[in-house]
Amino acid sequence: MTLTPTGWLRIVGLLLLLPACTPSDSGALFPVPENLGSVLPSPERNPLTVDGVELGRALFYDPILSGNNQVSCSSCHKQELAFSDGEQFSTAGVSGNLLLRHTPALINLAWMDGYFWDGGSFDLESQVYGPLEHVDEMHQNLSELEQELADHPYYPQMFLKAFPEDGITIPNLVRALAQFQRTLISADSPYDLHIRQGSGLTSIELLGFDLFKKKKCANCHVPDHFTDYTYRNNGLDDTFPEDHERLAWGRARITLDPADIGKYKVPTLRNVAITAPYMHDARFMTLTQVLDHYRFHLAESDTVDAEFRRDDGSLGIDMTDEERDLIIVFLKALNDDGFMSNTAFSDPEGLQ
Amino acid sequence: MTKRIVWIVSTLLLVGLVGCNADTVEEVDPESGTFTLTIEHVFNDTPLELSVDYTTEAGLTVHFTQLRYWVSNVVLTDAEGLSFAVPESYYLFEQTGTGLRNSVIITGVPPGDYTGVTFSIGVDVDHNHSLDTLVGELDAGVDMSWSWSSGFIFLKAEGNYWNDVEQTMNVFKAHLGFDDLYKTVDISLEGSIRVDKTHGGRLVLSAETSMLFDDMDMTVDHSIVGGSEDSPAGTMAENYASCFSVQSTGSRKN
Ligand code: HEC
Ligand code: HEC
Repeated sequence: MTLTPTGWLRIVGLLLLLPACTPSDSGALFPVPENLGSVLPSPERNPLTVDGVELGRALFYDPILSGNNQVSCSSCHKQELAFSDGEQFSTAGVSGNLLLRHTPALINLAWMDGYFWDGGSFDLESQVYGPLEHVDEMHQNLSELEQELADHPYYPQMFLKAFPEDGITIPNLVRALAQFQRTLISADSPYDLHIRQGSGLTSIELLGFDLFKKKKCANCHVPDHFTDYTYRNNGLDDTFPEDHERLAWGRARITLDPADIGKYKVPTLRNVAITAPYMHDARFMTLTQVLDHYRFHLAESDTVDAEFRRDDGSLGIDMTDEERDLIIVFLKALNDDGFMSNTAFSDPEGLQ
Repeated sequence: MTKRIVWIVSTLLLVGLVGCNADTVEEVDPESGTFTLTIEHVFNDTPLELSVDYTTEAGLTVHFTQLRYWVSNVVLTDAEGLSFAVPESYYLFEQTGTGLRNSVIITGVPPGDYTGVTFSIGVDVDHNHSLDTLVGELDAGVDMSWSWSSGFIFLKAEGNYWNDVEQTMNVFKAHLGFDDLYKTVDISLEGSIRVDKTHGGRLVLSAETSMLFDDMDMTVDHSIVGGSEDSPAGTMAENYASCFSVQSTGSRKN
């Protein structure tokens, strides 16, 4: 047999899939502060559009997404707390059960390489399936949700505007939510003004920034994102039990690489003064506790980051109480008050 | 003309490129035919029934309550080694309490005498992680995907096994996935299967499900989620990669 030209063309067509289409240009509509980057990253299949973002915002605040129509994304991700919730572990889900990890703030998500504390979610689109289907979060049946949206007074219209080709589908729903969340950009703190305009930080805050770099914080919490978006072990634990499907393995739960045991995503420190409690299990209530952890309580393990080793091999970052307090003063200068009050991020119902 | 447009549109869809690379347009091949791939689930060579106890050669008593897996990336090869990769071939095969789906009719197969079939169990890395890019039957709403580690569950086997220590039938579940466990199966045929516009090709394979438990210690590994090469999940994946054999072939005049 020989393949007909058709058959071959089809194979060639599949190979041509590999080179990427030209990236969409959302830049003009959704500008990025220059100290964060030049473009707002988004996958080619889901470029940002005004209608898509608007739909995503409506969905983010709408409890229709949950099985009992009472829980929205904003039940756990509250704008006034930089989209965190202030709790150690949330009980705001449909079941009321305690979640196993702390709710992170949602800041500059577009740049992240993996979502969740362990990066288990590949992209923002895929991430949405997590809360949507989890029994202790929104516990939603996806085909029921599609039906509810189809019967809704304004969603059919909004979906068609945002996705003219096929309107209401679950992939479009997760794409709209991803689009909205990519617009949650925070870079208007006193620090940012300082970087962009040359002034904005007090001399005390500048001393703190200096220490932030000297004491190695900046090696992982790299300015101006205040994270390098990698996964690291900052010495919280020395044992990593396997229960709850290896939850305590952190990044290794996803990569299955023992070298990743106990590693978690380096979180951004933007707005950190208002996103307490801290770490993936929210074990620290205050920034003072966090800093004292780095000074005195780093736990030894095979995977603890080498940044924390002193010359003699022991663990810890040495600083005086005064230096610690100066670093905290600097961290507070990373607060971007406009992020918490920006009406473009707020509940659209609340505005009407 | 309309037919041509329909073909152009469907080609674009199938190539997954809506909006770009429009120069790879082609026309439908009027000579093409169909190819039916069926996988019979058997246990010790007898048709598998759910909730019926079987005993493996190694003496393990088990029954299934469900068996589900993605069959993907089907490629048909002829004697000269030319191959046809079935576009968007991602199919959910399953035997569950609500029914049996173990067959797919592939259309648009170029005419030829096919001597080999290759397919994979699971989902390739390029399509495994973004749960909103759905090709073929891939769907993140059918309980065959994870969101905590976004990706598809390649194979899901659930049921009960006889636990000798506790002297009772205990539950087992194997939810296998992760890129490491993506396995490709090569089937070569003794004869060939004719496909053209008047002949539909047909291949029936057996999946010997007892083999899933080869070298497994179910008293320890009765709850598997995820998978790396060197773990019980890896062993089971090797097992499913080798459990397929040809039951019958044919070519039926339309
Ligand atoms: C019941 C509380 C709850 C609800 C409701 C909820 N989340 Fe979350 N969210 C969490 C928790 C807890 C985590 C961290 C989980 C982990 O890392 O394992 C999280 C993580 C995230 C992350 C990852 C952030 C990062 O830094 O990696 C995103 C994005 C997110 N949620 C968006 C959403 C969206 C969109 C919705 C609505 C569809 C939603 N969440 C609903 C509690 C919730
Ligand atoms: C080796 C990399 C590394 C260094 C150096 C480092 N951190 Fe961290 N930091 C992390 C990681 C990883 C986490 C998250 C760990 C977790 O949640 O399990 C974290 C978490 C934090 C948090 C909590 C943020 C939140 O939202 O929960 C704060 C605050 C913090 N670090 C401040 C600092 C300061 C200040 C310094 C310098 C004294 C510093 N870090 C040095 C890696 C590092």
